[in-house]
Order: sequence, then structure tokens, then C-alpha cells
Amino acid sequence: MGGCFYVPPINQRPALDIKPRSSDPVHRGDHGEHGVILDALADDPEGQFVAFQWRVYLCTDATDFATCDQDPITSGIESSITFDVPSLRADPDGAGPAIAAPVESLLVILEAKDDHGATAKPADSLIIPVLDADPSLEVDQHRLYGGVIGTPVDLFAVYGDPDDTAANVMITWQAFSPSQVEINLADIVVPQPDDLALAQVGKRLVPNAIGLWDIVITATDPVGQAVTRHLSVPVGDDKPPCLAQWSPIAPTGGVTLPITEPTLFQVPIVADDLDRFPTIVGDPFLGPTTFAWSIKPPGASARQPLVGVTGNTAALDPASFAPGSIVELRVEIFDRNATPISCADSDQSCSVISTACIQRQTWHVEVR
Amino acid sequence: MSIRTVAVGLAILASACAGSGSPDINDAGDPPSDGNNGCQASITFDPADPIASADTPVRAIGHVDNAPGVQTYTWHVFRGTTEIPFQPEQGDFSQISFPSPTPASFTVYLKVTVPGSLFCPEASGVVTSIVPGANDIEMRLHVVPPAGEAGLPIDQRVIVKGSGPTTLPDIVLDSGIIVTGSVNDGATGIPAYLRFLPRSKEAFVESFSDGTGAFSARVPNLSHDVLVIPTAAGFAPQLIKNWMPQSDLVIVSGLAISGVVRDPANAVLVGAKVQLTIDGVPSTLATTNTLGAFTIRAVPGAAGSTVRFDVSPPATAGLPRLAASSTTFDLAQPVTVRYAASLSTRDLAGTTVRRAGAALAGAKVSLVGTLPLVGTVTAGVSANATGEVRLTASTDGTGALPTLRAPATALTAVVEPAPGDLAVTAIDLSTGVPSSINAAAMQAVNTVVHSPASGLLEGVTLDAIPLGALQLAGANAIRATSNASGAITTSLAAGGHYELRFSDPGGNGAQLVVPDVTAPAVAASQTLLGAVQVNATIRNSGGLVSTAAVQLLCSACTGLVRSRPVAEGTSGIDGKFSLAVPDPGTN
Repeated sequence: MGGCFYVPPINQRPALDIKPRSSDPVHRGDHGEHGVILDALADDPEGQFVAFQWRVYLCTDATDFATCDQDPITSGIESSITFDVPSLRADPDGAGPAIAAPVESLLVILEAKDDHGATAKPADSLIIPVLDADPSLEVDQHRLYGGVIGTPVDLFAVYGDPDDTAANVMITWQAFSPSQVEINLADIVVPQPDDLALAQVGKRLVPNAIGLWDIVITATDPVGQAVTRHLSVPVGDDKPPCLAQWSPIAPTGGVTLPITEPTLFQVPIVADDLDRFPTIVGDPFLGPTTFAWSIKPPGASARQPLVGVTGNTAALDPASFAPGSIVELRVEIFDRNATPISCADSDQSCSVISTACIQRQTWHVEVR
Repeated sequence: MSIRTVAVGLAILASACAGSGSPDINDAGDPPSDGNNGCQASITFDPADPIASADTPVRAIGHVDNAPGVQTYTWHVFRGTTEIPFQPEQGDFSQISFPSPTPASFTVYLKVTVPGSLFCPEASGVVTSIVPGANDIEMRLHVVPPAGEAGLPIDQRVIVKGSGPTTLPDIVLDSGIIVTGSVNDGATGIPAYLRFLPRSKEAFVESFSDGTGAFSARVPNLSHDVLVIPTAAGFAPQLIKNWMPQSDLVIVSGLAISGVVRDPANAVLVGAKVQLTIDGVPSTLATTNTLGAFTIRAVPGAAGSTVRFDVSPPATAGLPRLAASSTTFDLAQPVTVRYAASLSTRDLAGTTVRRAGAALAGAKVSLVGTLPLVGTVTAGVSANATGEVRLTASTDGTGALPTLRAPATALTAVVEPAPGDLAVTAIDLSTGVPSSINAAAMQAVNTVVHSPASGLLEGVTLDAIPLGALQLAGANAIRATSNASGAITTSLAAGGHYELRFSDPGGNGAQLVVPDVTAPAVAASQTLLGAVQVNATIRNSGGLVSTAAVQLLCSACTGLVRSRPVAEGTSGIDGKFSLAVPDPGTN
């Protein structure tokens, strides 16, 4: 007897694939329109409806599930899934959040089942590497005293991190002298930026050598991403002071200044790195200008110092001299280095560094 | 003649917008700018000098010129750096009021919006409320900007109020114009010293014309008086009034004034220097010839001008310098200068100068004194002349004076054995010549300086300014500075009189002036005066002006004291300055 057996067709498992909608790399902290969108692609041989089950895990190394959170960050049953990428894992120790660990990869598991309950085997999975954003780092310097050797230079670093926050960024400083000798920097208290996402720290360099100092500032986030900036700090010597203003006018070329009444010869302003006039009192690095006045009375062969006249003024009363006589009044200025004024005595003015900055002025006065 | 204009219009505009009703007085007296017919806003205050009170607010009144239609007023009021609320006092907000329960300075800004596209610059004004009964004091604010394009110096009167800070309206520097021109007599260029005197005389600008008469200077584009002192012979110094910067400086040779100088014996005096001033403007300088005759040149002033003759006899004569003033001298008449017959001299040759019994070799001796009547000057009319003795010699190796003739009267010897080492000794030559002059050693002065709030002050400067005989002898001021313990140690001339000025650059107290003191009378402790701050911001047409020299000076003083600052400093990078001056207090 012959016969036929009906064997219903064997329901075949659906084929499954995960397709990221964007080929852009994924970063920690991507969210909103920058979040991740994945599409499930299923192919059921029988054309049956396929139901999906998504699970997305935050991991340190998604190839080792032990480094992933126990619970998925998100799940879903749609054919697409959209999710934000946190910066930190939720329970890096496995039993709830304890120590924040950065998310370095995502493990996406997609399961599918057709109308007959056939599941895709194995479930499809996708490991998405998660990139870490660099910390931001801006550096600046403030040479409080013009970068003079032995005076402080304040250094500032403003930093942040879009995925780790500024609080988790470590700043390291290295200061190298012009001869590449490293010295320590002192902490200073600095104000914090208005932008709450940023932080500022400061250090103080007190350079002990002239030249170009190299300050290396590095911001490192918990993942180890580091950004390095260099500050070049020019350090110079303490230059001689400059007569910035004087009165009355000091004619040149052998011309004399007639004075008819008692006159106060003044130096209202001296410019200097450290020893200026008017003096700034109470600053530990600033000091006073030293004034040296001298006079060459009519007929005298040599200039005579005005002893005790150490301020920025000297009075000259023409009545102290015979009318018509010529008197020379001279002021010379010095800072703490007391650089000798090496010009010839007959030179009306003198600059020991340049023509623009003079340390000597001489008035040739005609007594009227 | 060429001229280059440097943005003066903007400076004037800025000045006009700096606010009125303010406590300062501009010496320059510049009229408000009407140079542009665009919208201009300004603010006045009612009262202009408010008294701090919980009950009476300060009213700010906005003024708008050259703006059509309905205007919209937007105000901001700052007490210091803090913005404070205000109340409208008019429905259109053209007037507001704000409280001033305690003394403070307020800066008020007004932005006026007008229909259409017309731009109306923002106005600002500063008003300071004071405590009831606050005194005030007038001072001079002298500002000299750094050389270059920053602007011209200013010198203006300011009113400092007692018991609180005084915030002045912004100090707006005029850029001025660079003017080049010539000093000439109508044909030939003349070298000269030039002092351009704007209406604020103490904000003068100095320059020189060269051998061709050419000069260049940056000056306000305003009417000036210009003092011209030719360095070429034959031309009298002169004051050219109401000169405008667009013209050359044309000078005249001046009136020739001739005369003779006679000594007490009525003999002609050879080698005397003669000059005069007319309302302070000097003449040329002449030396009497072998006939005792002189000729000087001067530009006569208006009727009633004060003419002062000054005669400096040769040192060998032993006579005092002679000065006589009159408003009725007739300079067209021959001038006779006659020393009084009663005036005699003595020779100090051989007088030894000693210190503690030891002869002082090489000591400089100045005999000084003032005499009420030493002769007459006659030029049409006769005027009595006063005298001033300033005679100098140095001792030889034995400490003895060489020939040194001096009037036979009570004088003072100022001895300087070495530079800076001074002694003051009375010397009476009326009855004879002393065999020796004692020069006492300098006397140590030790004092400590306290702040008004108690506490010792480091860095306080002491300026010991010579008075009397020392001043006549040409002695200069001595400066000393307090150490970390507030102590000042210096030495003053024995017998010398000084004015002491204690100044703290740190502003912990205001300048203390001890008017006339000798070394033994200097108190062991000094306390600086209570201070109030005077603040302002310096600007020019380009913005803030830093490193300008700023001085506050005595407004009522004369002579050198007028030039000595009560407080001085510089403007910071923000253009601001703050100086401590004595608190006028309250009544």
C-alpha cells in the first residue's frame, strides 16, 4: 500500500543583523540628535513577522561581558532603537554604582523571534567602540612684574571635559628653566570661571634664570586622554629705570632755560620694572626709585651733589645766583641695581640701555 | 605757518557730555561745545551738592538738545560699582530720583533714544552726597599725560568735601593741535623760550624757537597768552596776549629804559646787574658800565602796571640786592637807583669759621638777611627799595674767610662745611666783625609716624623744606623716609627753620605739614591727618589714559609751596586714580 505523508514545512529561523544608522564614531556623552540609532534587519524565510528584543549594555570592554553593567542601559522591541551614551557606567563593580568608570564600549544584543517562535540563533550582537573626548585646556600667564627674574609669574589653566566633567580631569605642571632644569611651582588661589563646566587652577613661577622658560601643562581625563599645552615665559633682567616725565622743559643743543622765579624741578614719573615713582608702598617686590641731584653753580669746575635731596624734586631759587649766570641742575635715577650711569659728565642726558629710556637729565638754567 | 588738527572736536564733545552740576570748576571755562548740531544729552542734579539724607533723594534731570519728537530715557544709577534702583519723577522718565541716605558718590548714565536714525550719545554725570555740615576745601588738580598723543596737561580747581570720598567727573584731556610757526620781529626769525599760557595758566606748555625762529608745540586750540623770552640780544621778553594758534608770534624790541646806579657814597656803581619786571614779565638784563649806566629793554604794560626794579650789585661791593616796586614809575624818564647813604659795609676777612672750636677749612659761608630800606629808585617818581643780602665766600685752609664785605647790620651766616652739612648762626655786623663764626653740628631728628587710625607707618616721606635764612642761602629740601618701625631719622641744620611735610605714598593718611620748626622742636611722634580720597578717571578722545602724572596741590598757596603736591600718583591702566588728601571735616 502506498501513501503519502504530509509533512508540514519546517519553520526556519529568521536571519538577523544590526545596522547603525550612522557611520560616525560614537563618543561618550553623545545624546539627543547625536545619540545612537540602530536598525534591526531581519529576514524570515517564511516572511513571518519578526519580533525584536534589544538590550544595550555599557561596558569597559564589551568583548568581556564581565566588564559590562549587569543591567542594560536600554531595551526595546521596535525595529529601531535610539539611545544616549552615558559617560560613565552605572555599576562598574557589578553591584550598583560605586566607582564611576568611563564607558569605553557598548554591547548591543538583538534577539528576534518569528510568529512561530523561532528565534534567531545566535542572537545578533554588536560591539560599538565608544570614543573618549579630549579634555579642554586653555593656559595663560600673568607676569606680575614684567617677567623680571626673581619676581612671580602667575600661571593659569582653565580646563574642562565634555564627558568626564572638569572635576575628573587631572592637571599636571612642569616648569623648565632655559637650561632645562625643572623647578617646582607653588599653588595660588584663583577664581573659578563663570562657566560651571570649566575649572581653573593656578601656579606661581618665581624664575631664577633669565631666558625663555617652558611651562608644560597637561590635562588628563580618567580614560587617559591627555592634552598638553606649553607656556613660554620670557624672563628678563631688571632693566634700568626711565625718566618718564620731567619739568620744566629741558632744552638741548646748548640752549638755556630762563627762570625768573623759584622753580621746583620735578620728576613726576619714573618707569621701572620694580622701582617706580610714585612709589607703590606695601608690595613685597616693588621698591622706591633713588634720585640723585647735583648742581654745577656758575664758575664751578665740578658738579656738586645736593646731599639730602633724595626725592623727586629739587628747588632752584634764581635769587641765589647772580643774574645772568648759568647753572646746571642734574638729576640721575637708579633702581635697586644702581646701574652706573656711564656717560661722560658733559652729556646732558644719558641712557645706559637705549636712547628712548634715559636715566639722566640736565637743565641748563639761565638765572634771570 | 601750518597747522594740524588733532581730533579736538571729539574731546570737547566728550567734555561737554561729562556731566554738569558737578562739584568741580573748570579753570579753562570752556563754553559748551556747539560744534555739532546733532543730538546731545546731559545730566544735572538737584541739588547740585546734595546732603546725604534718608528723607531727601537726589534728583537727576536729563537734558536733550537737537532731538526731535518724543524721546525715550533710559537711566542707570551706580553707587560706586553697584547699580541701585531709582524712581521716575516725570512721566516721561526725563527726571529720576534715587536715595542717598549716607555719603557716597553716584555715577548716573542716561541713554536717550529719539525717533528715526538720529544717534544721541550717552550722557553721564557724577554727584557726591556729603554729610550734613561737611566742610569743603578748594585744591588744584594738575594732570600731565604721558608724552605723545595722550593729550595736554590740565590744571583745574576741584572742591574736596569733608568726611567722605570725592569722585570727580571724568577728566577729559584735550588732544590739542600741533602748531608750527615762527617767532619773528616781522622780518627775522628770533630764537626764544616760549611759554604758552591757556586760560588755566598753570597748565602751560613750554617750547623753544630755534635760531630761525621756528617753533612747534602741541597746544589747546584756544586763545593763549604767550610769554616769549628771546635768547637773542636786543629784544625784550614780552607777553603776547590773546594769541591764537594759527598765527606767528611777532615780537617787538621793546622800550629802551636807561639809568644809572649809585652806591651809598653817591659814586657810580660798576658791574651791577639791573633788570625789571612789568606785571611779572621780565626785561632784558643789563650790567652797569664804568659810568654806572645801564640800558634795558622792556615792553611797557598798561597804565597801572606794577613795575619792579631789581639791582644786584657786584659781590665785592658788599651791598644788598635792591628791589623797588611802583605802579607809577615813568619808564620814559631816566632811572636813578641810589643806595642809601646810611648803608655801610664791613669786611669779614680773617674771621674764622669753627665747629666745636676747630677751624673749618673750605667751608662755604653765606651771609643772608633782609633789610627794610636800602635806597630808592626814581623813574619819574621815587620809590623806596628793600634789600636782600645773599653774599657767599669759602674759608681758606685755616678756616679764615677771605674778603667778604657785607652790610653792617644784623645778618645770618649759613655755614656749609661740607655738602649737606649746614649750620645757621646769627651774626651782627652793626657794631663790628666777629673774630669767629660758630657752625654747630647738624642736629639729629628722630620721630615716628603714625597713621590717623593708629599704627606705625613705613615708607612715609619727610620733606624738610628750608625757611628763612636757609631758604635765602639756597639750601634745598631734605628728604627722609620712615623705616618698618615708622621711625624717621635725619639731621637738620642747627639754628635752621624748616617746614616739615610728612607724606604717605600708601595713602594711609593725608599729608601733615608742620609749618615752622627747628630741629629740637620736632615732636617725637607725628600723626598723619585723616584723609579723604579724591578719585577720577582720566580720558582723552581715544579712551582711557594711563600713567598720567596726577597731583593735588594747594590752591591758595603762592611761591614754591604752590608747586609742592599735597598728594601725587599716576593713573592706572583703567585711567583711574585715587589720592588721599586732608579731610576738611565737618563744622
